[in-house]
Amino acid sequence: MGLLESFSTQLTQCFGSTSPPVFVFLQQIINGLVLGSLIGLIALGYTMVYGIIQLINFAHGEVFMVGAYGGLATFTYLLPTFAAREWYIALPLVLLGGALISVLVAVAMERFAYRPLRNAPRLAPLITALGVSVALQEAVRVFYPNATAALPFPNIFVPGSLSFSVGGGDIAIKYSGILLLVVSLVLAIALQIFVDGSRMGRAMRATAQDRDVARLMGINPDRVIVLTFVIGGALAGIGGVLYGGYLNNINIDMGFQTGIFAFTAAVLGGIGSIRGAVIGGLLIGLVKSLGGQCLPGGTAYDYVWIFVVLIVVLVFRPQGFFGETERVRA
Amino acid sequence: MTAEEQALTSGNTASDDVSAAPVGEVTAALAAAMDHTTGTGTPILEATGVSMVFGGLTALRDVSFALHEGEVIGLIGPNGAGKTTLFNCLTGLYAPTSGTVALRGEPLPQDPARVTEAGIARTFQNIRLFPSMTASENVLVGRHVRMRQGPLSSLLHGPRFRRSEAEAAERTEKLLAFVGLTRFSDELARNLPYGDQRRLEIARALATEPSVLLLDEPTAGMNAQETEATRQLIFAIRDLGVSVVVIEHDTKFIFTLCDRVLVLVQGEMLVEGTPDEVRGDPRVVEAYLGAPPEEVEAQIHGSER
Repeated sequence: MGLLESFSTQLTQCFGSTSPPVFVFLQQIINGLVLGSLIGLIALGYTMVYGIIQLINFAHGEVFMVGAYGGLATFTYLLPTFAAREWYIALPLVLLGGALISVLVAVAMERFAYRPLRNAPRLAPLITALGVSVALQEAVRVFYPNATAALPFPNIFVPGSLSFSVGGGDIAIKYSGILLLVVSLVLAIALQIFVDGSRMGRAMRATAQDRDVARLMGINPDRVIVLTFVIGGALAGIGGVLYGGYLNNINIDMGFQTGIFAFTAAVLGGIGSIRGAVIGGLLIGLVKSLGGQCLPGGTAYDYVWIFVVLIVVLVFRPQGFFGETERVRA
Repeated sequence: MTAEEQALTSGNTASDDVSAAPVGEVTAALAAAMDHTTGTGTPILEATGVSMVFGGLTALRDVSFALHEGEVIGLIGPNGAGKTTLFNCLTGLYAPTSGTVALRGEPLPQDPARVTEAGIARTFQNIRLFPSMTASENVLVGRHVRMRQGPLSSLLHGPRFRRSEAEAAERTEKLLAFVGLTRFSDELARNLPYGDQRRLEIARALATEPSVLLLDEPTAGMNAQETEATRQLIFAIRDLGVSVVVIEHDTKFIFTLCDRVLVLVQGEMLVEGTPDEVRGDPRVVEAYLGAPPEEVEAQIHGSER
C-alpha cells in the first residue's frame, strides 16, 4: 500500500490536483484489468489473423460486436423463460449463441471477402476489411434499428459484486467482471497450449512462417486460415457476450472502439504473439482506466495515453514485447 | 544396419494407421537394399514427356524418366537446366504444361499437400525450414500428414490426442537421432549451423514417411567432411527403402552416390545412364561443362569444385 500511496502523492505533486485516495487507485486497477482482459481476448483475433495472412482485419472488432448482439438475440428470442432465470443454464447457451454468430460471420468474411483477394496487393484486403466493418454494422441495424443507442443487456451471470474495504474506502468488482477476467485468461492459456502442442496448432505456426513449404508438408493452408478465423471469431463472440453482461448495455459502436484498443494491444504485445496480445491488452486496460482517473484531462484523453504508450514502446521495441524481429540467418 | 536405423525401424511397429509408410519397414528395406543395384521392378515414380513452359520460356521439354524402388538417381546439369523446375513438377507445385507424372502408376494429384500424403517429400535448394520453430517442431510439422487429431480431442487433450502426440514425439526423436541432431532438438531452426539445417530439412521430409525423397542440392555449401556424412545419410535413407532423387552440382558426389544419373541440359534430358556411362559421354562433357575434354576430365575426376 505504501508504494501506491507514495505514487499517488507524487502524482498530486506533479499535477497539482487533489490526490485520489488509494482505494480509488485499486478500483481503477481492477477495472483496468477487467477491461484489459477483454481487449486481450479480442487482440488474439487480430494477432492470429495477421500472423497467418498478414491482414489487419479491421472488421474483427465488429465480429465482437455481432457476438454481443447474437448473445442478446439468443437470450431474448431463443431462451425459454425458465432457462433465462438460472445463470448456469442461460450463460452457456447465450455464450454459445454469441460465439456461433461470431464464428459464422468471421468464416463468411474470410470466405467471401478475403479469400478472393489472397493474392491481391495488401491494400485491397485492408480496404475490404473497412468495408466489411461498415457492412456488419449496417447488418446489425437491420435487426436492431435503434442500435446506435445503447441497448440494455441482461446480466446473465450472478448479479452484484464482490466488495471489500481497503485504504479508507470500499472497492467493488462485479461478479460478471470476475467472470470476464477469468474466462479471458483461461481461453488465452488454452489457445497458447493448443498452438504450441497440437497438430493443427503447429500447422498454424508453420503456415504463418512459410505457406508454400507448409503445403509441401501436407498442410492445407485454406483449412488453417479458416480455423484461425473460427478461433478468433469464437473468442470475440464470447468476449462480446461477457462484456455485454459486464456493462449491462451494448451499442453498435462497441466493436469499433474495442477493436482499435485490441489492435493496438496486438501491436504492443508483438503481432503474432498470444502472450503479447494478452499482456498488451491488460496494459492498455490499465492505462485507460488509470489514465482516465489520475492523469490530467481524465477520460477525454483515453486514446491519447494509449497511443502515447504505443509510440513509446514502438520507438524502443518496434517488434512489440514478444514480437519476432526479422533476423538474417547466420 | 546401424543402431540408429534399427531404432527407427523398431519405432515403426507402433506406428500410425496410415498406409504408404515404407520408412522403416524391415522387410521392404532389406528387399529394396538388395534390389536397388538392378534398377528393375516397377517404377515407383515415372515422368512421361513432361514439358513446362513459362510464357515464352521452355523450362522443360519432353522429359521422361523412371525411378525404381530403392534406387538413388542423380540429376545433374548446368544452372538453369530445369532441375528444380522438374522437382516442382514432381511435387505438385507446378502443373506440367504437358506430360504426366505417376506415382506407383497413379497420376500425381495437383496439390502439394496431397502429393506429400501420397508419399513424395523434398528438401530445398535454399533451405526453407520454419525458422522460428525448434528442430523437433520442424520435424513434428512433417508428421502432420500422418497424424489424426479430432478438434474436440485436441482441445480437451483426450486419450487419442495424447497417444497421437506421444507417437509423433517418439518418431521425431528417432528421426533427429537418425540424422544426428538430437542435441539440437530444442534449438530454434534458424540458430542451427548451416550443414545441420540441411540435415534437419531431410529429417523433416522423412517425417512425412515418403516413398520418394527429392533432395535439392543437399551438400551445397558443405565441406568435404559434411559432404561425406551426407552421402552416408543418403545411403542409410536408401536402405530404409526410400527411393531418392538428388540434384547436385558436385559431380564427384553424384557419381559415387547414385545408381543412375540423368543429365538435364536446357530443359532436355541429354543422357541417362550409370555413373560410368555418363562420365564417359562426350556430350555430357561438352554440354554440362562446356570446356575442352581434358580440363573437364580433370574436373570430374579431380576433387576441387
